[in-house]
Amino acid sequence: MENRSFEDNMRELEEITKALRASPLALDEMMRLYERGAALVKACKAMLDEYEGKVESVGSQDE
Amino acid sequence: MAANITMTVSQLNEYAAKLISRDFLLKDVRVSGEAANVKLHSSGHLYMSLQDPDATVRCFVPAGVLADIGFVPDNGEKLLVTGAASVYAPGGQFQIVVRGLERKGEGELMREFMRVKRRLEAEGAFDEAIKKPIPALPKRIGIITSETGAVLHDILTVARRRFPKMNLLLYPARVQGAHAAGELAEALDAMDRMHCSVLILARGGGSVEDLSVFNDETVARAIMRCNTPVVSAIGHETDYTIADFVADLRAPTPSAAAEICTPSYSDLIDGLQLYEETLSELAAYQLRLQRGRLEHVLPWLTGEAMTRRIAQASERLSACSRQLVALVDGHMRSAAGALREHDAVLSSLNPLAMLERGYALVEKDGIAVADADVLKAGDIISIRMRGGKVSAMIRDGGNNGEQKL
Repeated sequence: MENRSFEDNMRELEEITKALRASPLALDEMMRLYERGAALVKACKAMLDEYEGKVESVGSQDE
Repeated sequence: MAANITMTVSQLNEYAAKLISRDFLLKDVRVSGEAANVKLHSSGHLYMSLQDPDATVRCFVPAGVLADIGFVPDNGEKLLVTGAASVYAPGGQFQIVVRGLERKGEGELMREFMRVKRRLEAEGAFDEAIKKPIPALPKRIGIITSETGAVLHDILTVARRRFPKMNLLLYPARVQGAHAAGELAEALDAMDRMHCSVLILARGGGSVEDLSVFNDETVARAIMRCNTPVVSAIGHETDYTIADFVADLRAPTPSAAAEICTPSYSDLIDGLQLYEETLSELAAYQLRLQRGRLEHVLPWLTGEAMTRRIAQASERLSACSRQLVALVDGHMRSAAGALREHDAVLSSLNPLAMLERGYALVEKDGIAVADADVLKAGDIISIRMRGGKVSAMIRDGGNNGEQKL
């Protein structure tokens, strides 16, 4: 899941919830979707925690 | 000395007014400066000041002239004013009575603007189709703006409020003036290489001339070259520059640009939390659905129904078993009957039984003799009878005669 964007993960989460709302799924299919969804939420939370709050400056008006 | 003469104020002012009015140069002046203290009087006349960094002069625009001009200048606008410099005696004021007024360089700037706009539009630079989307969660936001002024401060404030730990990269740049166009193009090229997710190009409000660098073709082409999405926020909400047209998105103000580019951290976390809870709820819901189906089938698997079915099956099994036994029994009996019959037949054909009945078996040389023809007188025969065996010699009979033994 390294190269997927945050938006891709969110989109897949939406599809998973839609699938889980639908008519009864086979038990193993339901578990697979649930686990995938939980993994996506975890990955997204990790992405949000990667920020360091760096404010840097580039170049100067003297160049 | 003039100071020994005592004048009235009126006399003094009249004198000055007449003196000024006689000056050839001051009758028709063209003055450039910045508008300030613009006040439109209910009479229709306009009063304002014209300034440069070191001095200011009052201007009086008669209502009729203002109507010809067609607009009311804003404070801070660079103007070109034509008229007569004079002294207004009753007020003792040196002022310009304006005959004409235009925005400085407006004509030329407007022509250049239209030229560049038409050229770029024909190249498809303004097409929506080529605009890049702004990422929902940027890894780093780049900001190109002047480091003085409120713009940078506003952007940083909004960004930090929405996503405190967002990574930011600043490129301070001049946003107006003679060499600003080239510098901004360099800034855009440099920032494009810095792996930002999105770039904000911002500048606060100003006159048409102040914003003119953002109508420069060099800057526009630098924006078009950018692989990083560019959000422009230039001037006031109603200002549109070429940069705004070629940017991937135009924001009405620098704060709005920051708002658009920076997602709300708390909204994102809340959204993820909601997904987490929804997933659990839906999984539980699915389990309930499954359990419902199970309960539908369960009556068939427990209690009476099951016992009944077992009893039924057991009954069928017994019936089959009885049938089988009966079949085997029948077969056995008919087989036994047949066996007895065969036994009786065989018994009746048993030669030893015949001996019991009184018949005798004749043998000659160990071979049974059934026909008298094979015997002749003198043959030694053995006769088997009920009591045992006797041997005898034929006296006569056999193929000699017909004497019966």
